[in-house]
Amino acid sequence: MRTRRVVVAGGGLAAVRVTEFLRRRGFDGAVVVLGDEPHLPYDRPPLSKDVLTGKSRPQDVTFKDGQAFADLDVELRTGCAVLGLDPVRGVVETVAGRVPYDDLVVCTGARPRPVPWQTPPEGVLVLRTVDDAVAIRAELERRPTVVVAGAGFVGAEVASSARALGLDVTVVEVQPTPLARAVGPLVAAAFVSMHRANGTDLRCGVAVAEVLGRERVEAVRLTDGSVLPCDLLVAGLGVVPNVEWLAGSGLRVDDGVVCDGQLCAGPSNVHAAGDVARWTDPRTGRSARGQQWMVAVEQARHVANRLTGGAPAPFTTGRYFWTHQYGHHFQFAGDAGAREVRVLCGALEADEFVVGYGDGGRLVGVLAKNRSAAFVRAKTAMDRGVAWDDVHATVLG
Amino acid sequence: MADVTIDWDRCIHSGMCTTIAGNVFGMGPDARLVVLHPTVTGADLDSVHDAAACCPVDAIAIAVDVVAADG
Ligand SMILES: Cc1cc2nc3c(=O)[nH]c(=O)nc-3n(C[C@H](O)[C@H](O)[C@H](O)COP(=O)(O)OP(=O)(O)OC[C@H]3O[C@@H](n4cnc5c(N)ncnc54)[C@H](O)[C@@H]3O)c2cc1C
Ligand code: SF4
Repeated sequence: MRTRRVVVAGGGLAAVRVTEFLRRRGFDGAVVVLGDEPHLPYDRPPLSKDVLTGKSRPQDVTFKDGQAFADLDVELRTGCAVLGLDPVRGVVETVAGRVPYDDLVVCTGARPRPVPWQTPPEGVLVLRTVDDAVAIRAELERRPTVVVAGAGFVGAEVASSARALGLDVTVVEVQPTPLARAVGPLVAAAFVSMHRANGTDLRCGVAVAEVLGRERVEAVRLTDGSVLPCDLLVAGLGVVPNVEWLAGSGLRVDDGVVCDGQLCAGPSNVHAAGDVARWTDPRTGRSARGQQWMVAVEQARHVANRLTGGAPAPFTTGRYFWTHQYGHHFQFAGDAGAREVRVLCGALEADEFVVGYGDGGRLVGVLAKNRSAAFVRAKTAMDRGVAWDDVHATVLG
Repeated sequence: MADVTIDWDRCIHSGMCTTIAGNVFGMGPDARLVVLHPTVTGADLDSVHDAAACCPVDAIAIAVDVVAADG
């Protein structure tokens, strides 16, 4: 007889990795995944990159086939939205009835922030799901003039993919410099000049005020009064966590499900992982919600460790992140927002560089453009606690 | 026992595998990423499986030696 049943709410990256790590650690109870999308679980990073350019097909992004879930003895229920939670009884409510659990892992992720404008029925899209990617790809094949609202990572990758197809692209960013908080103002300037060098018209310090067009978008009016004609508007305005189903459950929700340093979401048998989880990072003391692939995986690993009797260490993350823009490969690790910045090799305006971020006499963050080997060296040195003054020698030597 | 390989066409040099399974993945003499020990056993096998799950591009292949695993 089976002793325990782990239910995973959500069917994305974090959910899949939780099940894999659990089995790898010898968990032999029942494992049930409840995902609302109709598809097999899939990977999102390729959506804004190779799927938009047509290099990958939508079916190429699934993690694995249904048989692979069966082989792991994981019961995958697709098209099964979770509607509510009763932590006292240990039951989740779904569109297909109630599902009892011994342990629950909340992995419902996030969705694009809704657009703040009145929009015509066609030509205004967001990007989170494979269906979104298929819809945007279909629009791009009609060779539209494109406006992207928001120059965050997803917006920048959409712009880059549209430029790779030779389309006219304007990016509208409300901040004076995009990514300034994520990478610091000095390095952010390098992203600005990269957009422009690749023919993207980047407008900073303005926002889309109005979307014009009755049946389909015809133009956008910006807050500075200028009007940009376009046939496609892609909004990349950030994400909001999928927490509505937790209303009334007693779990604390505040821009994400609030967890302790162990990723426990209140009751000792409820944990969270991925873009939905808000936790206090012991390294910075700050409350954070991950929006990166690797953080979701590290959290899945941590939760699986907890559920299989691992020692109660606090969750920590290396905060690794990558993005691909205009043919350039960027990688970050650690705190890329720290104030002290040093170019360790290459130059910010060049096609290759490694930048180190320092704080308290230590290397605390690394960002590289196309310099993978040096990036790995710098990251390894950072993990070993290399002093800020020795950084040059370690990374280059 | 298992044989570990990296698909170099997929690898984006995140360095995650070296962080998680430093016994198996690391820097070669020319300061490039390599599989230090392609044949993996024991506790290293667990960390290699974790590294494979943490690889952002699914580039790490683990071929379990069935004969040895059965024996
Ligand atoms: C286009 C795009 C490109 C990206 N590129 C990068 C990149 O280059 N590098 C990087 O580090 N990160 C990238 N990311 C971020 C990364 O993909 C996310 O951090 C990751 O997907 C988080 O995984 P998750 O499982 O927490 O959430 P999700 O992937 O959002 O999965 C959650 C799943 O749960 C489902 N769900 C939601 N509510 C319910 C409910 N009530 N009941 C049942 N199911 C529900 C959702 O439909 C979804 O399928 C990108 C994201 C996007 C969208
Ligand atoms: S984890 Fe994957 S992508 Fe990263 S260095 Fe290892 S093989 Fe390459």
